[in-house]
Amino acid sequence: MNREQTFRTLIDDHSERSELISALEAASERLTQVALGPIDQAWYLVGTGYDFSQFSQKVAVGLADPVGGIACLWTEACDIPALEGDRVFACRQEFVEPSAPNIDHTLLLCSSVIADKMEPLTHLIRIAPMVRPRSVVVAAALINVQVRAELSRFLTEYFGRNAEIVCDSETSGDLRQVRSTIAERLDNRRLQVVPIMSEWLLSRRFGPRPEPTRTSSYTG
Amino acid sequence: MKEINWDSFVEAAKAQHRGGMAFAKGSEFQVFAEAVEFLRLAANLCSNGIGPDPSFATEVQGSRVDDLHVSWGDPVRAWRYQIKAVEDLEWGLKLETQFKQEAYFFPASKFYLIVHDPNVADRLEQTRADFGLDFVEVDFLDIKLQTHPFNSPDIKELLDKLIVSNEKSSHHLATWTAIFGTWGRCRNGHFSEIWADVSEASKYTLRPLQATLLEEEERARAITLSVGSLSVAADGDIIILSNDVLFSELPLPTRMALSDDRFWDPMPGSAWELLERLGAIEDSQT
Repeated sequence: MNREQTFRTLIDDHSERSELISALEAASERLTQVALGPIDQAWYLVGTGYDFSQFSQKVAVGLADPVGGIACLWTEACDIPALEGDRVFACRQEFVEPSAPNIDHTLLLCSSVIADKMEPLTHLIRIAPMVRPRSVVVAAALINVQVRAELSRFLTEYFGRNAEIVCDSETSGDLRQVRSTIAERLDNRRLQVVPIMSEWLLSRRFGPRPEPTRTSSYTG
Repeated sequence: MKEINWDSFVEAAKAQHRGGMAFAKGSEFQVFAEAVEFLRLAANLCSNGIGPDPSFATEVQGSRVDDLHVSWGDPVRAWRYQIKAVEDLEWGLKLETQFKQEAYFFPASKFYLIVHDPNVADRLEQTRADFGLDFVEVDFLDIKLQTHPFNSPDIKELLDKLIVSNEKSSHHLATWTAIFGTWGRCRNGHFSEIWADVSEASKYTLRPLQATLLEEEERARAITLSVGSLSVAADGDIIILSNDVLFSELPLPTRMALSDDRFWDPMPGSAWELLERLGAIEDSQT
């Protein structure tokens, strides 16, 4: 899928799950092959929960340089009716590996769609003080241009030329609904009471998944 | 590259948030001060156990004093607040009369005056005896905190008591916004009802401030023992899963989940089985 097709698939609210997965895979491939690397440090990759399997995981697997640690944060936009301005993000679940000791890391924040600057900033607030990176890269399949500019201004203030935002596509359109639609469509579980978790990510901590029983999910 | 001070980095990142409150126009400081008092009470209930369920009212009709009124069931023993952001505030006739009238009718109440500036608070504190107002406790809330209250050490300390996660700093902004946004919308009602709305607004990342039943705690302990690599805890209406890398606050209907014998038979024997049972893992077949 080329860049134009990827963009159209991501913003089309009628796209099927399989089409979205192909689009995110194509975007992550382009990003890892062209924009992400090589670096002279190890990556510490941070992904979002709703699209981890389809985007951040693909990026992690596709990187040429070593990945010293991985985190996944399940951030969700808070709906505060009286609030004007930027949305804020709550994080009700996290998977955070320690960063490899005595190694300089480049922090890589991955998210398929960046619609709000506060979402990657919430990830930075949680992870950056722990990893203490020398440089930061934000990678997205799709980003809003104004969000990109504001994020870039903040990152440059702290990291100077060691801050970079790379994306497969960008748009001036509001992406908040696009992010919600993609999150809903990627979740293929019958019951969605708890946040969706990537099998690949969990196996980094719990070892390979035993043959699933698939008979015992909660039905109340 | 210069060394980064990570504490100021975190504060600056949080301060990137541009947020106003649509409801607060014209009475920003009063709503802000009310929300801080609400937060203070929630933190207090959290530290000292969940006891009575106070009710809040603002601008009580027929009252001369109350900008905020916290009732503990008996109106005689309410907490009665005046909240002022006036540079040259003096006890003068109006303030003095208001407090004295209320104290006459409700002598067992507690009376508070909250102002926006420490100097104004000092001045009023020093002169209150001259007006026979020693019973009024004068306090201040720095009006400058309104811009980024989630970076204030005092407010962070209160928020920390209510945040479930061990790692607090990345939750301050969202937590404060949930409290302030919810408070500003209602400004009246029982604590438990407002707190339920706050919990929902925070995506259930806050202490539910509800007692956990012994039976639920025992079930959580039994699951932990059986699973091994993941600790399970019950806190009011949420289940907390944690180990060295994973921390999860699940707003499951905990009471139902933890008390349902059928759901836990057989007991999950590993983290994988537990997460599968909760329906957390993606379906890789579709």
